Amino acid sequence: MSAPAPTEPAEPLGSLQPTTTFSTADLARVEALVDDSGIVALLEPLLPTGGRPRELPLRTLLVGIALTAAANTALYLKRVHEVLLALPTPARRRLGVTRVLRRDGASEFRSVTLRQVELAYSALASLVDGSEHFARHLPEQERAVREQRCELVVQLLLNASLPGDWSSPGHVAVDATFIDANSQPEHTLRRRQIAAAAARAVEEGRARDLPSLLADDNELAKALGVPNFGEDPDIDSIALKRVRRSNRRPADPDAATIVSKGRLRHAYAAHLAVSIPSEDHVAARLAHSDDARAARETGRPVRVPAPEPEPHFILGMKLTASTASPAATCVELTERMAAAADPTGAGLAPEHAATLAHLPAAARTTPPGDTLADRGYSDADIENFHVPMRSLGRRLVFDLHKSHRGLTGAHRGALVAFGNLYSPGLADYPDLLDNKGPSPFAPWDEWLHYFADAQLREQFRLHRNGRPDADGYTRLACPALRRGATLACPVRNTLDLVGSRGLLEVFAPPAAPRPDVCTKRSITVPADVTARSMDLEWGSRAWYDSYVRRRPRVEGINGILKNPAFAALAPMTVRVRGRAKVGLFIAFAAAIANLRATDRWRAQLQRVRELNAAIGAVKRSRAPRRAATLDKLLPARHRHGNGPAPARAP
Amino acid sequence: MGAADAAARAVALPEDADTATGVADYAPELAAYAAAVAASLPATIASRLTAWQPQLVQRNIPPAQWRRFEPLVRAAATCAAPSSEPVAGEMLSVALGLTAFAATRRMPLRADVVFRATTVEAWMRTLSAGTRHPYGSMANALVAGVTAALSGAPAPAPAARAEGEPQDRTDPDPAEPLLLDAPAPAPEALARLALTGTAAVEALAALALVRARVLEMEPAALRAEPRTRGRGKAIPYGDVEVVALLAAAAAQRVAKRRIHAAAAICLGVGAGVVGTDAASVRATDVLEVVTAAGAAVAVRAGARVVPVHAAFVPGLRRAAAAAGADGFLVGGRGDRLKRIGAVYTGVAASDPSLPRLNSARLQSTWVAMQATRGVPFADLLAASGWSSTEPLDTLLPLLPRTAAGAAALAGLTGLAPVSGSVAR
Repeated sequence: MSAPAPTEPAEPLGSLQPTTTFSTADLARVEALVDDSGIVALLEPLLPTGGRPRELPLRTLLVGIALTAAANTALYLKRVHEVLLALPTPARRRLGVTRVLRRDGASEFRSVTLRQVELAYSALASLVDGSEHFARHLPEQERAVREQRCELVVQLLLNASLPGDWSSPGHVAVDATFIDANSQPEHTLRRRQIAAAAARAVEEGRARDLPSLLADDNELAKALGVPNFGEDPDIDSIALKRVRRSNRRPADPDAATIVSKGRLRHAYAAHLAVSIPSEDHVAARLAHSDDARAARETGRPVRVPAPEPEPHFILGMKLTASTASPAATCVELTERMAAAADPTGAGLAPEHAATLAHLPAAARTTPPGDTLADRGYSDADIENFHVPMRSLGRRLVFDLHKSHRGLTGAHRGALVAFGNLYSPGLADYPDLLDNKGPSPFAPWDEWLHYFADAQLREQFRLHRNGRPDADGYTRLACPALRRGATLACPVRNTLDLVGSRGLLEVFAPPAAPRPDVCTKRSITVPADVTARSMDLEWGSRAWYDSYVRRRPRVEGINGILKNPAFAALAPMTVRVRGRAKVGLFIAFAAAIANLRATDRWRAQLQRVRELNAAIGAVKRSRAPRRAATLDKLLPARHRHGNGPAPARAP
Repeated sequence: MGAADAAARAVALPEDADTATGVADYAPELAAYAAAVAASLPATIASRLTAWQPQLVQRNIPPAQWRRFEPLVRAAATCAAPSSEPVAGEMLSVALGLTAFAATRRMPLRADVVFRATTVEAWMRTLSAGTRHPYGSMANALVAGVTAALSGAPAPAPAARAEGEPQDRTDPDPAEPLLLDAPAPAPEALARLALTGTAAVEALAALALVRARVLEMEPAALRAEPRTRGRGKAIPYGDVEVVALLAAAAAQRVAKRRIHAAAAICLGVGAGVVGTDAASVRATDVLEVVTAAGAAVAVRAGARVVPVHAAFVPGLRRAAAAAGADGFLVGGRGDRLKRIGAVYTGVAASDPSLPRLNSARLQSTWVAMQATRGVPFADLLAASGWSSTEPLDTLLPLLPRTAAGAAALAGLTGLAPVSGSVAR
């Protein structure tokens, strides 16, 4: 007698009610993501072996994490377990979530337990966890290997989430977004200093009422002589006072406590590199929208086709503590994106590393192009950001911090301002050296003011003679030299250009002995002087179109990731601890965001192609040259073109 | 489009509410000088200078910005000492336009920077061709006034004429002595123009006769340009005007421009060769000829050869020497029209109070001069290149009647000639 065919139990999932279900197509897509990334092939051989066979395959665990991220729910292991159990039965059985056991001639369905998910995840995380806190028992070299492995996994995952028929134009915008850690805020260093100082004061008998002193950090800092003590975000906050008095270590030491938007947060910083369109693309889009507006106003058809949309993809991601240097992180991220995924240093066996090299996801790189970064990055020391980024072939377009705007120094007679070198004649125009910047959400009129300033200031900028040499030295020439002059100066005998070409004038050139910039045809300037210089003048219209119109794409991605309607990184949804575990979840959330961005991009692409086909199909006819024909001058009833005039109503 | 409007339209400046500044903040010297000039001006002009208000809305200038500009604008216009009430208004408008232009270029609002020749030149580029000339003239007058104020020159003495006497001569009294707006040329200026000795005497004497006739027929003809505008385009220049125009030509900033301008005037008044004909004359067209009166200089203009009045030969010789082997006497860039136009606008821009340099007036001056000397009309027509006598219509009333002519007419009728050859 053969055993009865296994049947589906009435309620195989028990009382578990799935909050999200996925179609077979969604599941297939997530499985393809995991398979294309090659992570399973990368990590499976590294998992511990020799004991009892693992109940939950690594691939299934990764699929479960991806599905959890796709469900936009809280990112914690219990949810991974729930999502796996909520899959359709064939899928569960295929993935190994549910197994059929034959016991005493009867079939029994057994699903993976939460404990098994936790164990598998711990095993996975330990392979990629090089944290100085959670993996502190490991030697430093091993931790470095695991860090490399973690970065490799994230890069492979993101590369696999990009569509195969899309190639990056090389332009990226980089920004960090804070991800709240699953932990309370901790004492900041400053507050620990205060606590220590207060303790000493009590010991020395200078203060006896410690709790009352601790109630106001500012007063205490003043009394104890702690230097540079800043303002509390909210000095009346009870929660803050509690935190201040606490001496607990945070539950997630990989994250760091910061003051953000007026409150204390214990958070990670996820640095994202997002694809952005080229400057030409922006110009084409503006031309199309201008033409569309004109067409609406005049009632004519649109003539200028729209450029094909550029998708919002996350090309790279790196998770750090919120207090880590953004500039150094950006350099590391860029370095990794510029090169193909390199398993060297990730502790892989040579045969596995060779397998990885054949994966399309591993071969995908970001070609040289623009990197757009805000002041959080560009305010760094030049050797931490500007110089290494340029050495990686990146063209930097960035915002300037207030301390780098206006006049900041001089070099061989030239003025250093706004990161650039200018003619000393700029000192005659103090309004052009103002270090004010546009206000947040500045209206267009305010921007026009900055455009005009930048346009005038650019005339004073020293002219670059060729590219920097191998040592980074650049030849810069006075802008008042007659050939290609953009400035009129009595020293160079070009004052006549004020009237003939409308150039600005140097009113008071430097007195004798004149500096090099006034006497030599060009001066050689080292890289450290020109490091904060951009080819676009800060505040100019070109800079606006390049920076202000393109960089916010990365803010859009931040918003998408943190909006529970679109992605899984809403505040306080990450329920695991440690940089590796949190990083894995965030990488999957980013990869899922890329998959969804691909869908949106394809839909937009279709719409734009249809629109352009419609624009191309419209008969091209020029505007009539004869605007005042006799027919138009005649009263309506006498016009020939209108046919007989209608009879008037009585 | 107004001057201030054009400048302010470029970019609206941020509106600083409380940035009203006194003149002393722009230039302390300007305040004292402007006060002294204001004291010397008639009360109507002075009150116009203080009461004038711009049309801020039309000019797109925020009120706070006008409050910033106001002291500087009023002081600069006062330093220029406008001659009449309307001129004062125009001067203020131009000063505001220039100041707004300087502000859009983010120049420091200092008198020496804003009211500067180079700033005016740059501003001119932004104006339309129609407004460039009148505004440029006034802007140059402003620059001259401010420069005088800042150079420490003594301020003009308070009104020399009787208190309350109007300077505005828009409606002149026929009995009022005629005064030219152009200052009388100093002997040094005449010498610099090579108008010395007999040449100067002859030229001035010949032209003085023309001037006398002109004054008799058209008292307003030799007045400042705004008053003669439209009353006859071909009114001959007076003697002082010709000399003043030559002085203005000599005051051009570029050496070549000085030579070209003097050549154009000498060709026009000395030989009746004007306009594009004058621009076509090359150094090789200046000929040494022998006439019945002796050796002379003639100029070839197209198919005709015209003897040059001896008073204007030095100017032509100098231009011919500067032009080189085969260069144009009125040289420069561009075609003939542009070259002669550059001369006319250059002379006009150097001194706005001068009458405009005009081809028709130059040629009328020559014709009147020759007709006064008794050159027959037929010869005059041939030498002038005119194909009809129509251009003479405006000149005929200005020409003197001679005793010989009267005798000839009397011979025809049998009457005795009337005594007093120039009686009307």
